[in-house]
Amino acid sequence: MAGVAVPQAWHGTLQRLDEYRWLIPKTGGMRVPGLVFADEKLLRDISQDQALQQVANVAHLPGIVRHSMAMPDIHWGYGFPIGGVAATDPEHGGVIAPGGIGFDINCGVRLIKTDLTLEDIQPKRRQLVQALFDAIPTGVGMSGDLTVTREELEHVMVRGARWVVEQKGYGVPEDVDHTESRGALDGADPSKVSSRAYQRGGDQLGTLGSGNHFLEVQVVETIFDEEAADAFGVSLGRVLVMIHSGSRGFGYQVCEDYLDVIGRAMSKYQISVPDRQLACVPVHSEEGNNYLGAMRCAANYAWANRQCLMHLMRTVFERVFGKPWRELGLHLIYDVAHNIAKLERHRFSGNQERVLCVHRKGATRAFPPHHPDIPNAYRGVGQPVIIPGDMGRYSYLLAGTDGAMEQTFGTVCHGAGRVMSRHQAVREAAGRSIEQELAQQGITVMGRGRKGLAEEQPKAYKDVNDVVDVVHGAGLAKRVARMRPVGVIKG
Amino acid sequence: MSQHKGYEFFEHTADTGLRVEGQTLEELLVRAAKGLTELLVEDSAVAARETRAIMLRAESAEALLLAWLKELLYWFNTDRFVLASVDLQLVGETQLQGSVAGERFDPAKHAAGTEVKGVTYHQLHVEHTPQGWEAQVIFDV
Repeated sequence: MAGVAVPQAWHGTLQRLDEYRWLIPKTGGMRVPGLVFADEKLLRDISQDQALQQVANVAHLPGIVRHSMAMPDIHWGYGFPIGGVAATDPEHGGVIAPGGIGFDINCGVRLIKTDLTLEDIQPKRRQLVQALFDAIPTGVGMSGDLTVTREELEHVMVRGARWVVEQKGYGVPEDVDHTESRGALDGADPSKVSSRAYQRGGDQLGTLGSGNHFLEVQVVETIFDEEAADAFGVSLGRVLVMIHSGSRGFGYQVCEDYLDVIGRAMSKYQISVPDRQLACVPVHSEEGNNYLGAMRCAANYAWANRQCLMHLMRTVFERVFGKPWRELGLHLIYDVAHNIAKLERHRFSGNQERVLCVHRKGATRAFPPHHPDIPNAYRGVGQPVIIPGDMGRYSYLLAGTDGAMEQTFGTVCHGAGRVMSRHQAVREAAGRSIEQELAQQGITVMGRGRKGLAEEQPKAYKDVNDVVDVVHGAGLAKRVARMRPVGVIKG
Repeated sequence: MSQHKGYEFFEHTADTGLRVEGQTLEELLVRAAKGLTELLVEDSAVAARETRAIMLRAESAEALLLAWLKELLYWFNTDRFVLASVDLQLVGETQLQGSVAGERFDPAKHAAGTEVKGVTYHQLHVEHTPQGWEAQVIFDV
């Protein structure tokens, strides 16, 4: 067939700045250069598709400051690359782009500690994973048990995780304190959300979703930084639980609605971009303001969703281990968003401080020690940064540093990043049982979809060790702990 | 490309692309809908228990394909409606009307396929060729 796009390798210029930093020089309509955080090994994969072209495309956005940036887990997305970071200056025509946040607004990760050790859970591992799989709605077409009325949904949009804790009793105030933005962004405006999004959001609170979303039981296998590990409450051999999910159909609908609205409005502001999926409008415009109001509703919905998922998980642990969750020590370490845009104060170009619109599309906020926006308990060591890997190898807990504030507007990577397309992964898995392979490594996996486990098999991802090496080496965050999975549920 | 189905999926690192061919634009739209359904419920048998009317108008054939797939996805995501068959008539290249038959998703009967988050504009194209029509669309999954 003619006119069909296939992945094409990047042939543009890439200048090596040092071991971990590569520059895409400003050419054509680019307003700033591109800056890629990677090493040579990762770059070989990154250059195989159009991710780097997308970094250059993002540099065309009006009002973008400093660089269009890419994290080491970057891969080809639509519009923005996944792993892309862009900050725009609203006072100088800076734009907001729904494609720089993505369909799954506030997709993110939370990490919960326990007082249990691997020895405590080994005899009950299969029972525990089965009970989690039974209690937590996963996969396509599944509704949550927690349906909310239209009025309640509006409260969720405005108050996020706080509403779930205060009105439903799903958790405690300490959970909210340990959530990025304390579980709710200000400025959420339910009147800017379409009735379609209301429809899609009504029965999806407390559902995991499918694709790369998961709940994982992990064990800490390496500690890199004792002081930060102590502050976060993790130690060698301790069991942790990681939850990866987002704003479900509610957020997808908000994104879809505003890609249309903003796509149509661009000509009004004389904006042209190289890819329709980069549709954007000034932050200070009617459409920009409306999108921000709706996007924040979806972000808050996602925090409420992860709070509900954690509540379901706690009740399963209570049943399986026969003790209240507090006695099992199931406390939230932290919750981070990795698909979001936020107005934040940053210093750039000399020492001036400005409010910038920071887009993080598959990238995680990583604020340094003493930043006012991180919980008191972590002020001395920096924000916990949660980096999930694939389901067969590792995940990481990192801590934010001043390096990220100086270089990336306080941002690091968000995961391992895919290296194989989903179809390629399914082909690769033909005749193999991913479930059995993982069982041989001591990992119990349960998933609903037939192809899901094949698509998400460990080989489909980059080695998260390589990604974290770059982030650590470039001074964007420091390693605190590494975990390996022992039980996984997937959609 | 499967001659029988008239559509195929193609590689995109994190997402899923669909290429479709049809003798007519109607056929192309029907096949694209079947492709989306295969993503959602794999090759599950779907019964035509319920019929819904549809009418859509768009600015171009591309926008019409996008609006059509978005509507079907919306039905799936709100009422769990899965498509079995379609009867479509087009007015020009930018307006469609017709009926869609299908049933409610039943986890006991239908496979849980891929969750489709959205239908993207990324590399979207619909083309009238000497042989008929062809299109490609990328789903965020």
